[in-house]
Parts: sequence; C-alpha cells; structure tokens
Amino acid sequence: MPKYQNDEDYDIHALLETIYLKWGYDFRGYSKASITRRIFFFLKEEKITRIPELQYQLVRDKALFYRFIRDVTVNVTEMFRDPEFYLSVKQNIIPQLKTYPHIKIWHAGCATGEEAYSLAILLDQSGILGRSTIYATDINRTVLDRAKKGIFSDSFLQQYEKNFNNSGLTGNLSDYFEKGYDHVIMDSRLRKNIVFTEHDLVIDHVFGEMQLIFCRNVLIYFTRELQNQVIDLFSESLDFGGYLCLGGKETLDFFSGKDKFITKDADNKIYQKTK
Amino acid sequence: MNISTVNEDAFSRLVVIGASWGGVDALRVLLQKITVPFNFAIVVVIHQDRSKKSALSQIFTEIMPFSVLEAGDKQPLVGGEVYVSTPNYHLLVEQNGTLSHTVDRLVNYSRPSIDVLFHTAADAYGDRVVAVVLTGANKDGAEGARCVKQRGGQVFVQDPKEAEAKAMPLATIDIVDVDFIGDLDALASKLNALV
Ligand SMILES: C[S@@+](CC[C@H](N)C(=O)[O-])C[C@H]1O[C@@H](n2cnc3c(N)ncnc32)[C@H](O)[C@@H]1O
Repeated sequence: MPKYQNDEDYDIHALLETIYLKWGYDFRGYSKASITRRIFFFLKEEKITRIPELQYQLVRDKALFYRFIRDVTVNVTEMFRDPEFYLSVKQNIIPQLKTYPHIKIWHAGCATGEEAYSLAILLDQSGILGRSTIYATDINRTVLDRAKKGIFSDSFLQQYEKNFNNSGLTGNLSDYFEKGYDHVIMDSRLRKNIVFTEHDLVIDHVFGEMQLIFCRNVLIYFTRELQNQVIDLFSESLDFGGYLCLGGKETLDFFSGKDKFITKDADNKIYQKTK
Repeated sequence: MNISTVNEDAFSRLVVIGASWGGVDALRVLLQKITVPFNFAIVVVIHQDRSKKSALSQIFTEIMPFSVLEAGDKQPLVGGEVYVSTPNYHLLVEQNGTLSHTVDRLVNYSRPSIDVLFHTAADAYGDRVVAVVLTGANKDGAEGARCVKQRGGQVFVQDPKEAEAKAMPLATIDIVDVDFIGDLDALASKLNALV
C-alpha cells in the first residue's frame, strides 16, 4: 500500500521533511488541509509553479524561508474575540490572580497581539496589570514585530468596540488607544508589562511556572498527537492552581494527562491544573 | 509518522452541503427526507451570525432520527452521521478522514466558507465526494463545486426556482457542469440512491 494518497500529498510531506532537516522548524505534525491551502497561496504569491521547486529554493534562500513562516501560519486574530470568554476569565480567574504578589502569564500564539492587549486591559481594570508580566510568544517573528508596535488598522474597530462592550469591562475601548488616520495606537502603558518574544511550541522548551496560559486557536492547526505534546508542555509550565485557556474548538478531552486538570468553564474552555 | 491512515470503511461517500440565506429551513426539509440507515457521511457548512454560538445541531438532533453533531476538531467522519459547521471557523476535511478548523481570513465574506469545505473535501476524497448547493444570497460554493467536479465528484444543486434565495444555486450552475438540479424532494431521492 502506498504511504501517500496522491502525488501532491507526497510533495507536501517531502517539503515539510526538508524544512525540518534544513531549518529545524517542524511542521510535520500540522493538520494537512490548512497548511496545504496556505502553501498553495504562498506558491502563487511567490510565483513559483510547483512544490518541488519551492522545496529546492527553500533550502537555499533564508529570506524566502522566513517569508514562508510568515505566510503559512494563520495569524488572523481580533480584540476581545468571544466576549463571554473574557467575562468568564474575569469571574473565574481574576479573583485568584489577585492573591499573588507577582503574576506570570504566558500567551502562546499571540499573532499580532490584539488578544494580549485585550488581556492587559482586563488586568488593568482589575488593578493587577502593574504586578503582572505577560510573555506573549509566537513562531512568526513578523507578527511579533507588529505586536510590539501596538498599532492596529481601524477597519475592525467597530467589531472590537462591540466585543469590548460585551466583555464585562467598564468605560470604552477608546480609553485605551489614540486614533490615527486609519489606525489606532494602543496606550503604551499596556505594553510595559508585555514581553513579546519568539517561541516555537513544537520544538522549544517549557516556559516556567505560569499562573495563567492563554493559547487560543493555535492547537486547531495541529494533529491530535501534536496537540497532546503541546498540552503536555503547557501542563509542565503551569503552577498548581494555574489556568489554561484554549480556543472555542479546542479541548482537553483527548489529552492523555487530562486528570491533572479540572474544567472550570466547559463552554469557554477554561481549565485549572490541580495535580 | 505522517502516513495517511484512511479508514476506508468508515463511510461510503462524503456528502458536503453548503447553505446560506434560508438554509436552516432547506436543510431541515432535506435531512428529514433522508432514509435511515445511510452509510455516507454528511458535512454541512451553513452561514450563520459569526458572533453567536449555534444551537443548530441540538435542534436538528431532536427532530431527526440520526445524530446531527456540531463538527468537532479532528473528529473522525463516520457514515450515517451529520456534522455541522461552527460560526466563525472554516471547516475542512482532512485526507485521514477527520475534520479540522481554521480561523483564516473570510472567503466570499464568510467564515465558515462553503468553498473551503468543498475544496478540501475534493482534495481528500476525489470521486467519492457529492457536493450539494442549497439556497443562498451570495456565490459561496461555486468555486468549490468546480473543484469537486474536476476531481471526479458529483455536484447537485437546489432548483433556483424553489430556493428561497437563488443567487448561490445560480452561481454554481453558471460555472459548473452540474450533475443534477432539483427541488429538495428530488435532491433527497438522489442522496438516498447513492451507493
Ligand atoms: C490564529 S492565530 C491565534 C491568535 C489568537 N490567539 C486568537 O485566538 O485570536 C495562531 C497563531 O499561532 C501561531 N503558531 C503556529 N504554530 C506555532 C508554533 N509552533 N509555535 C508558536 N506559535 C505558533 C501562528 O503564527 C499564529 O500567529
């Protein structure tokens, strides 16, 4: 029986294998449908006709490789995505965070940072931003550079304001940014306690003793095996009593170590590490 | 690692359905006419308000003699079951017979997009795919239906005259040499006749 279903499937596997050998980035455990779709967009963008040609060039061209990372990862994000999730964080997690003298938060797969700034706003309104550090990480350095600037296009502003108003916060989102011509600049006070840095969930190590980990809409890009490996990494990185927050389609149900966690809010995918 | 583990027996054919404006009613009528047991798997993308959770699978399960599930991430497809998309997530079919999701940009102003489902289903299952385009006021699904055809699958379309919104069926008929056009009754018979 052939190991691969068709020639295109073979090409994709060979490409990901080559990238791993050459650059040490491991996309082999990513769900194939999404990454294949992104790779075909990338071919078009770079005007390369075939995957084997891309493979050849990726081995020899570092700049092309970084564009590849930039473009095959899906970085779409928003401020206060799923407002009822933020409400739940406020009710279920913030009270406990308030009891710590210093709070360490890992925000894995932060993309362009909208979610990290959202969390910073929530911490600010809870009076604990000053003693919190948010380590916001991503595999994609291009989005991190944008996150650091805290400048966002205003085309989704209406949606963000609507989300903000449904998140159980006081005041207005506009209290937290300055409006530019076609963009908004986030209040630099929010930025002060966020450390944006590169980290690859597949190959890099634990990120010590966190009280809270946000990793939303990242695990959907991984196969169940890789999801397990990454959730293990989160489990190792969490303090006892610490919280793990996943995205709407993500769950601990299939995680081999799920008995180490209790479900705090099933709908909003909030789990607490108890063992 | 990385070996596609296709369970050839889990389902006979893969029926992918796209619905938009007026889609809930059309789906209810169509699904209620499916004879049980059936051994194909049905995956549905339906356009819904992106900022709300959907109770559709629950409502449908109560009135159908089979389970209508909200698609789970990495959930294996099984014949005789129906999987419905989640608002704000594109729904994709994997070559190993599972479903997956992405929050990638809107396609045809939609997330989930019917094109994304049809396209990935065609890539994964080729001539085992049957795409059904129901009522809708946009053109999502047309490009995807073209992929399904190119890969040897079949395309059925709801008769625009019967559809609550005809734009979506028309857009597909416009660019695809479709296999069948009919009202919901006729579409159900076509599905019931699949082997
Ligand atoms: C869809 S975004 C999620 C953004 C945000 N958490 C949200 O839910 O709105 C997924 C992010 O995961 C990142 N990512 C993908 N693979 C990764 C890996 N191996 N390590 C770290 N980040 C990764 C991508 O670069 C992308 O920015």
